[in-house]
Amino acid sequence: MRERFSQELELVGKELEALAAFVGKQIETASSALRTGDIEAAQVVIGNDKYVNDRDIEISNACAVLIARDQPVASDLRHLIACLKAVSDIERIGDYAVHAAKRAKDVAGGMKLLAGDRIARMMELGAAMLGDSVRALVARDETLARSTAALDSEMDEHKRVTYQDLLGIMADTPEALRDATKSLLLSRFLERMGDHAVTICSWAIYSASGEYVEL
Amino acid sequence: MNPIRTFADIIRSPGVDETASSDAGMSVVIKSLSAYYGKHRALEDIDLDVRPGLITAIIGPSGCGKSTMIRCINRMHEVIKGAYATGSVLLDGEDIYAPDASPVRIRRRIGMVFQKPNPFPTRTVYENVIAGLRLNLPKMPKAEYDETVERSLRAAALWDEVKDKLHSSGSALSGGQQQRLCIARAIAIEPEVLLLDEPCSALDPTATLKIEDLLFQLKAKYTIVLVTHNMQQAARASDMTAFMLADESHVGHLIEYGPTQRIFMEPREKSTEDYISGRLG
Repeated sequence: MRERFSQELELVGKELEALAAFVGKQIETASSALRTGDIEAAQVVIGNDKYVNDRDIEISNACAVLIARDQPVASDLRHLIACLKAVSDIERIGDYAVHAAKRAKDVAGGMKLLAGDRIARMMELGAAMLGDSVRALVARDETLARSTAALDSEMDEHKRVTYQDLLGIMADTPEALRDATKSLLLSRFLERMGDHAVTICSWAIYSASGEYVEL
Repeated sequence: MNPIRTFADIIRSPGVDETASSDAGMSVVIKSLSAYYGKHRALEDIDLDVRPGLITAIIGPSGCGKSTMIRCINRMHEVIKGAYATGSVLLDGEDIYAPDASPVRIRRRIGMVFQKPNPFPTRTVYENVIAGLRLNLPKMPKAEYDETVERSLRAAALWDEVKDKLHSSGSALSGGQQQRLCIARAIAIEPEVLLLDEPCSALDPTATLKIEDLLFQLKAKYTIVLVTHNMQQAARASDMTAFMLADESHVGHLIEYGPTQRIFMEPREKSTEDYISGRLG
């Protein structure tokens, strides 16, 4: 019974995972463009953002259609609400990849990326947290959601250290002010990736248990 | 007019909030109720505490004993030859299955509305409304009947539609109007509990929503028990939901009972979840 609905619910999950994978790839591409100053790669990431926004709206619409048409209840309803909320977080993470790509263009134009290793690690971590949080949501896996959210403390730590280091550089080397500010802001945005992934983890737990937990 | 709702009313589930239960209507406490059709047992040890002033929905697949259970609440079950019930049903603390309890008096305190609108076909709208009064009570002056007809039809949200055809046949009304006429007939005797057995299953969506709005108004005065096959109706219209099931190992029994919002968002039992999400069987 309700086989069609169950299949369609699964399809929504697959689309979410596909979108998360796509945004994960955007982050990777932006990260390597930052390292190499590859302006073309950066441009591709920026150009792809429209696709991410369109998918966000499409998936949201699909959730709305399933809610209206099949009037799901209990765990099905919670799951659809969780997907509907999570897709916006995925889209926001996509925006941060675009932000990184814009900095990559700056790098191509001569900007020196500061705290580059930490920033690279934050992007790697952001992509991993995004992928795992969405996997946890789709599989309604509370354990994976909690372990993924726990990674955010590493993200916060990178941001904290980056902030300290760059403030030091700014004080010591006023001519580095512009590059340091841009690098600092970038690390701030990348740290937000982690926060959005944590929110997705909270929705995964809501879907699985009915309780919204701040992680 | 429905009471004005606030955003907080969406969040607050009346069943969860103890204070939302009013002193309107009467409590119905069902204890260890079993029902039989001759040798066949149809209900097994039901314990259910129906809260006054709330709408309680009884849901469950066909054959789970929903209708049998509500028919036990007004001793209608035993009207069928060979049928009987054991256990107790307390109306405001008074056991309706006590040896000295009078079924006729009990039925006057409990109104019932059935699946198919069943106005008396040869009687007028007016006569339909007062049919119960005429049957149960000594004859009253015409002015009092007039007053009861208007009050009951207004309470059933039907007055404006029929006030100019009170003396036409009740069966000339639309299905939805006929069902509201039956509700008017049930409340004309001023019961304290209203039992409705799938009252909307023969009605179109507009008439259904009208009945649901009506129930929402009536719960200020009556304790309402609503048997429904329609999951969305239970979710929309009730404060509390009881889920019943009959399976290979058990005849009709209660699986889960709680605030409707919780039952439909976070049911505790897997079979409840399976049933409300359409996956049972």
